[in-house]
Amino acid sequence: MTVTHPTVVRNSIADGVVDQIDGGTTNATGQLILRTAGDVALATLNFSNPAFGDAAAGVATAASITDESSATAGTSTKCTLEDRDNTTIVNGSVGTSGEDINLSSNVFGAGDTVSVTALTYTAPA
Amino acid sequence: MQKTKAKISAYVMVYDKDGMPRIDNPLSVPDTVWDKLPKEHKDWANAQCKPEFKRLKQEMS
Repeated sequence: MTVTHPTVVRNSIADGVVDQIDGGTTNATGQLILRTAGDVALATLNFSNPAFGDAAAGVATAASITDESSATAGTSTKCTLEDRDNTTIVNGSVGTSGEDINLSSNVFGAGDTVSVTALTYTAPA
Repeated sequence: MQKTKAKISAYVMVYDKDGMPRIDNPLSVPDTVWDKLPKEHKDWANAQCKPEFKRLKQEMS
């Protein structure tokens, strides 16, 4: 039988992960960083603090995320969600469809603005 | 039986220095995002993309 969890446990799992993004002291907030395949940071978007609201139905939804107003040119294929001490909490894939985070274009020009609409974390079943 | 893993999900809009959207494939933009774009941005995206990606849905008047 596949392992599953009741909703209350899934909420606890989701909260346990996203609350780590609020940890640390170096920066005011955690960050979503869009990176190249070689891990170069192209766009850094600041979470709110706290970064996410309480999970419901196993899903935690991010509060407002500040745009990157001047991206670095390059192609993004990876992302990291990091805490306030720049420690990676979540790794994800980036592309234009079918990835963890999908972009209108994953090829940035220098000075581009990058704006997130609604980021969620879903706990395993 | 398929395992359901943890996942993250987000849609990100990218704009050039002139404030115009970079949209490789208008058909891949979620409806909730596309519907909120100004007509100018929709027209720009359809003009810039490959012909097979043009989003030709009739706009509400």
